[in-house]
Amino acid sequence: MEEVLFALWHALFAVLSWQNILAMVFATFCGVVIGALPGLSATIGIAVLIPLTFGMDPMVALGMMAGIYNGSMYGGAIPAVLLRIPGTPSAIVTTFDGFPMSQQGKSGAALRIACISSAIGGMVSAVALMTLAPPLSLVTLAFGPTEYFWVAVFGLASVSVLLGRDPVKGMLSATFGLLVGTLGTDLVTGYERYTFGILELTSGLHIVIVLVGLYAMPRVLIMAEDRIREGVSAAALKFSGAKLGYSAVRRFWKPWTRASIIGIIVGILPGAGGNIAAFISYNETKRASKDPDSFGKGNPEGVAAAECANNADNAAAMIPALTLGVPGNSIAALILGGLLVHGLQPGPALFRENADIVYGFMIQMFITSVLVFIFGGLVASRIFAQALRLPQVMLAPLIVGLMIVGVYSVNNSMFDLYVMMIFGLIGYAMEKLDFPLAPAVLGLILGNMAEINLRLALLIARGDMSVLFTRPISQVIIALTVIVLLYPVYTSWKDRRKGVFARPLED
Amino acid sequence: MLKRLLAAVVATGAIWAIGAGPAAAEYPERPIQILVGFPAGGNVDIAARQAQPFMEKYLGGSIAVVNKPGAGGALAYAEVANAKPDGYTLIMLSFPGNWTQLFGTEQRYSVDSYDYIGLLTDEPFSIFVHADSRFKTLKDMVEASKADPGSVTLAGAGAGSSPHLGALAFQKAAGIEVTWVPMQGSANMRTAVLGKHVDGGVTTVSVSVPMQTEGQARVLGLMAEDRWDEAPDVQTFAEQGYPVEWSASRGVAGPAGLPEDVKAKLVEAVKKTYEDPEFQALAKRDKQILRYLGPDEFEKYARNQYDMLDGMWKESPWR
Repeated sequence: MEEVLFALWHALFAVLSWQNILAMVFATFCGVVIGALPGLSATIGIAVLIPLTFGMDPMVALGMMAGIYNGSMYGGAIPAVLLRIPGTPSAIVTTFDGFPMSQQGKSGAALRIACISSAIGGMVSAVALMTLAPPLSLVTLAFGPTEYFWVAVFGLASVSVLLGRDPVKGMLSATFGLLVGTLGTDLVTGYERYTFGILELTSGLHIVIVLVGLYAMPRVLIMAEDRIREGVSAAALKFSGAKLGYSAVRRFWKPWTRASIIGIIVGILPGAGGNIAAFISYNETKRASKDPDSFGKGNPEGVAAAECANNADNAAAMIPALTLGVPGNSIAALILGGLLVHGLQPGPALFRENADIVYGFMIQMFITSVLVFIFGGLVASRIFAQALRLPQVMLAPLIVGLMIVGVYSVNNSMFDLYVMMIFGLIGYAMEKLDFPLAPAVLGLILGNMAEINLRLALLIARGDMSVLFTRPISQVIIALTVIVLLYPVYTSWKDRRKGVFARPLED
Repeated sequence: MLKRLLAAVVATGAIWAIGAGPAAAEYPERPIQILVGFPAGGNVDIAARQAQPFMEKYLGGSIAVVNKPGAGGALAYAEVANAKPDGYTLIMLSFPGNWTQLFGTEQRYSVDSYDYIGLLTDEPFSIFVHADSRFKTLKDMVEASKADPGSVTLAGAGAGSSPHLGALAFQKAAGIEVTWVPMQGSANMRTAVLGKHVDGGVTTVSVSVPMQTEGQARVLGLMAEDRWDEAPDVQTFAEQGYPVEWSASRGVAGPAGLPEDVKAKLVEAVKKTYEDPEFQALAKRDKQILRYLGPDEFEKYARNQYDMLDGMWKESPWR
C-alpha cells in the first residue's frame, strides 16, 4: 500500500504539468461532445485519436484518452435525457427515466443528476483502479466461459424489468434482439448465419449501428410528424434551476453505492461493457426501491443508477487491461493499443518499469471524472440543451446528419448506413405498434454472449453438462438469477396473502 | 468520414509544407491511402502506422492509413482488389488470414488481384501454457493427447483463423487430436489460458513471449525455422520433432495493373523503409519481427501461401 501511495505521489507531478492538464481539459470537453452525438461513441473517439497521439508524450496521449473515455460516457446521457436518443450504447438505460423527467419539464434536474452520478461513478472506479488493481485482476482470471454464460443469463433475467405494459410484446421484442444477435459467422464452426452471401454481414452487426437505427431514427421521424411544434422554452432547460443539496446526497447515496460496485465488477470482466453494468444496476435499484412502479416514469434514482454504473465501468475495465494485458471492454482494448503504440507493453512489467505512466494514467482517470462534473453541466446546458429550443422540424434533419456521420465512421462503410436505415424503419414500426425497444437491445447484447460461452464451456468439458453447475462462482450467479426471477412472484404472493388476511376484517 | 476529412486536412498541410512540390504529372501528386482491414490500435494497424511516416519520407508525398474493419479484413482486401490501379489506394495484406477468407465462401478477390510491393514483417506462431502447467514441453502435451484424444484444450481465434490452422498443422505433424476452443479476440484467449480454463493457447510470439518474460506463462515452442533472438531459450517445433512452420506476415500491395513507374517508386519506398535504422529500432522496441521481400519474391511467397492453404483445404476443410 505504501509503495502504491509513493508511486501515486511521484506520478502526480508528471500529471500536473500544464500540457497534461490542458490535454485532459480539452479531451474531457471533446469527450462529452462526442458522447452526446448519436453514433459517435468513446470507441470511435479514441480510435480517431490514437493515430494523432503518435508524436505526443505518452502521458499527454493517455490523458487525452482518459478524458474522452470519461467524458463520452457521460455525454451519452445528454441526448438520452433530452430526446430519448442514447448518445452511446451505455446510455440506453438512462433514457428509461431521464426522458420521462424531461417530458415533465425536469430536463435540468435529470441532466444534473446524470452528471453528478457519472462523476461519482468515475471517481469511485478510479480509486478502485489505484488501490485494488492487483487483487481485483484475479477476479478476471476466475471467470471462464461457464461463468460468462451465467452472467449473460443473469442479465437476460433482468429483461422482466423492461418488458413494459404488454409483456407479450416485450418478449417478442427480446426475441427479435436474440435473433439479430445470431447474425454473422459462427465462431465455433465458421458457418455463416443469415448473411445471404453478403460479405459485410459476415462479422455480424456493430451494436452502435443497430442502436442508432432502432433508437434515434424513430425519434427523428416522430419529431418530423409534429410539423410545427415549438421548441422547448429556455426556462425548462435551466441547469442551475435544479438545486441538489445535502438531501440529494441522502437520497442517492444508496443507488450510487450499488451502481459503483456493480459497475466495477462488470468492468473487470472482459466482454461485459458499460451497457450491461447500467442494465443490471437499474434492475437492482428498481428492485430495492420502495416504489418500483415509479421507475420508467421519471424516477431520478433510475437516472442515477444508470449513469453512475456506466461510468464506474470505465476505470475498472482498465484493471485487467493494465495488470494482465486483458482489456475489460472495447475501449480499454483501444487504450491498450494506444499504449503499445508508445512502446508500453501492458502487464506486470508496466508497473515496474513505467510506474509513473501507469499511476499517472490512474490519476488522470480520476481527474477527468472530476472534470466531467465541471464541464458536464456546461456542455449539456449551454450547448446541447439549447438545441432543443429549435423547432423540431429543424432539429430532425440535423440529428439525421449527425447519425450518418457517426455510423459511417464506425467502419468507414456505406453498407452500415443502409443497415442503420433498415433498423430505423423497424424501430419506427415497433414504436408505432407499441413494442418496447429495450428488450431487443438487451437480447442483442447478451444473447450472443450467452450462446458462445455456453458452447465454449461445453467444448472444454467435452459435452459434460455438469460443468455448468459445479463451479462455485457459477453457483453464486445461478442463485442470484433465481432470486431475480422469483422475487416478483414472492412479492405478489405476499401482497395476496396480506389481501386475504385483510379482507375478512374489513367485511 | 471524420477520419477521412482529418486525413485530407493533414495531407493538404503536408503538401504545402513540401513547398512548390513536384511537377503535376509526377506520382504522388495527391494523398495515398493505405487500407487496413482491422480496427485502429490492432497489430496490423500498428504495423501500417509505423511504416507510414517512413514511406512518406521516401515517397515524398503523404499517406493516410484508413481502417476498414469487417469480415476478418475481407472488406478491405476486396475493396483494394477492385480499386483503380493508380497507386493511390494500397492495402496492408495480413497473411495467412487474407487467403483463408477465400475458402468455402464466394470470392471477391483472388491471388491475382494484387501487385505485390514488399513484405515487411513476419512473425511466427507459438503454443503457450500457464506457468504452472503440467506441460513442460510439446512432448508432454502430445503424450497427454495421445493417451486421451481430445482431452487437451487449445484456445485461439475462430474456426478457419490463422491460429486455428496453425493448431491443425501441429495436430497433423504430431498425429494427435486436440480440442480447439475458439475465442472472440486475443484478450479472451489470454484470460482463458492465464485463468487455467484451457490448457494452452496459440498466438504469435510478440504476444506469448512477453507473458513468459513476466513469469505468467511458458512458451512451449515456436512454429518457425529458427529460434528468435529475443527469446533464445524457446525451442522451435522442429527441434522437438514436430516440423511445423506457421507465421503471420504483413506486406504492402496495390491493385493489379499498377503503372511501371508508380510501382517502382513504391517498391523503392518500402525497401528504404525496411532499411531505415530508425524503423528497425522502432520494430525492435515493439517486438515486431521484420522480414523484407522485394516484389518478385513477395509474389512468389503470396502464391506459395495460397497453394499451401489450398492443399490443406482439399485435404481437410476447416469449416
